[in-house]
Amino acid sequence: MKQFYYQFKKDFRQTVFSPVFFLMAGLCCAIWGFIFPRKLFEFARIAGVSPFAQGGMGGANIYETVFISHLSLTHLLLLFIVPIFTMRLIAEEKKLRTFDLLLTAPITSTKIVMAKFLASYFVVLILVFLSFLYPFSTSWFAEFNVGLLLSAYLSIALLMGVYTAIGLFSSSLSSSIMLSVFLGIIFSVSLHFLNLTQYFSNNSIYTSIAEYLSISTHLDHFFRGNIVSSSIIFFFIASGFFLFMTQRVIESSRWRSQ
Amino acid sequence: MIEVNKVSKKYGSRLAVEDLSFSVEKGEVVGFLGPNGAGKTTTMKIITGCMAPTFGDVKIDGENILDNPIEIKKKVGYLPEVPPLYSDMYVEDYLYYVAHLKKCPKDQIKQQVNSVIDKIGLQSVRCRLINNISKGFKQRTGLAQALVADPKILILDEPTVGLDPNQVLEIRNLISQLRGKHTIILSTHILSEVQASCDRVIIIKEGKMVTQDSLSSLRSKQQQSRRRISVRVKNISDPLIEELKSLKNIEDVNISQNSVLVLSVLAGSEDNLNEEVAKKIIETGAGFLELNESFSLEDVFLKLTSDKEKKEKE
Repeated sequence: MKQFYYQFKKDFRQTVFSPVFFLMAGLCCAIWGFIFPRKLFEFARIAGVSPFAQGGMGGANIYETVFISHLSLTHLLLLFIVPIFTMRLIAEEKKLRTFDLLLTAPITSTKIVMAKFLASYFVVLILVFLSFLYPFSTSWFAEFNVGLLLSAYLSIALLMGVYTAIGLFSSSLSSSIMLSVFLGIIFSVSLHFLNLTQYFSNNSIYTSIAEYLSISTHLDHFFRGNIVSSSIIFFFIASGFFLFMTQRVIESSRWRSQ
Repeated sequence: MIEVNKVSKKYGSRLAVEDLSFSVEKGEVVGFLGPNGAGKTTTMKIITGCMAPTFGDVKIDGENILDNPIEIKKKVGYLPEVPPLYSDMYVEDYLYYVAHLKKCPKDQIKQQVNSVIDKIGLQSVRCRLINNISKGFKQRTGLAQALVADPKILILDEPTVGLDPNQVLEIRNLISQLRGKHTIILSTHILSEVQASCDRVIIIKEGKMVTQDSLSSLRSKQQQSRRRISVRVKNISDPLIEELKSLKNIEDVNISQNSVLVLSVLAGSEDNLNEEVAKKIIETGAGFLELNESFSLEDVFLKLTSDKEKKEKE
């Protein structure tokens, strides 16, 4: 367990103290800081009240008009940023030949994968938390259903687990950092738009599978405040699947020709 | 301690290592020699468990490395050709991280890290970023990570590559200090390194074993088969070379890059040949300066890795 903790600590520190993290966090905060207040003022104008007026917003729904677009923006940004955080986890280790240290150390590939996954996942959760602060900070002057917001952020947090696992898997496939970012984005986007493929087939079984595998279907449940167990299971299975694939790739590197 | 049994490794259709078998006894320092691309690194990686062989098996302490890799990896310290260093870590933090990674007992970690820092001479850089230290210190840090868990077996893959002569000497001295405490396999293509540090030599070429023997045995075999005499004279001239060639048992005379005459002597020549060569040089008035007949592993290496090739071609 100590060994796992130190591997996790090393990967977490390397990611969180890297200039890339500060750059991406700064960029996200700047984009959110630019768009969120504008959406808020626009909403206030439509609702006909001052955005800083205490109490309600004249019956208008701040969640639907401001928070949902903020959540979508957060999702879009993180879709591209998560592979940037995960790119170095294995690909860079392979490139710098530090991966030999892990392969010759008495540590299982499952522990390596889990330590790297949790390290980058916690870093991504920091960004999710920063994003959460924007809508949450309106709670002192606006009335809204906090439960609904928490449900939506729960889905974002679970989804980031899937994206992190996809990013880690992409990182394990080659020693090229750029390729791992590119593959990570392609895999994540493909999963997101999988439901569109249902329009190409009349087969009801295929349509229902494509719909279940589509991330947007599951996000919709959470954004409406429905914490659906099948969606939670989906997020766990998707993360687990890509983590398993990563573990297999690492394990196979002992057997493959390099 | 280490048993490599009929190990082969295929990279696609290419055989990088073919049917390689050897064993290393406890406390031995074995030089693993071969030209570039001979399969040294692949063999090292197979022994450390970093890579699995296509055929054959490797036993460490009598146990197959694939049966219990976690326990066996605790016994092996590995310094790859490129030291596995994280440039954004401090030297001391890095060694603590490696000690935990290699499952050092918790109560011994601090002592182990301090001891290896003292032994390898990293005191002056222990609080510096790895990125900011010199290549020599990076190599030492790489050696320190291999040693930090106090492994029984130490596998060093070209530990002096890219170092300046002083640093090479320092690393060689370090390896000499480790003699007896660890079983060491030293992979290199630098022959003087093997001569300076190893008890036994294994030479491979194109993935196949060419020979394995002790240095003294190789020396006697070399002397039985062919000798080389190096002569330094003031004035090298064609008549001198012709005179030397006319001597009995002298097969050939060449001029090396640093203007030294190298005389190839046929097998079975008499011991007083050196005396005859010196006499001939003095007679011709070429200005005799130095005569040297020494065992060179280079000769053995060249003979074993090129003669065989010639035979194969024939």
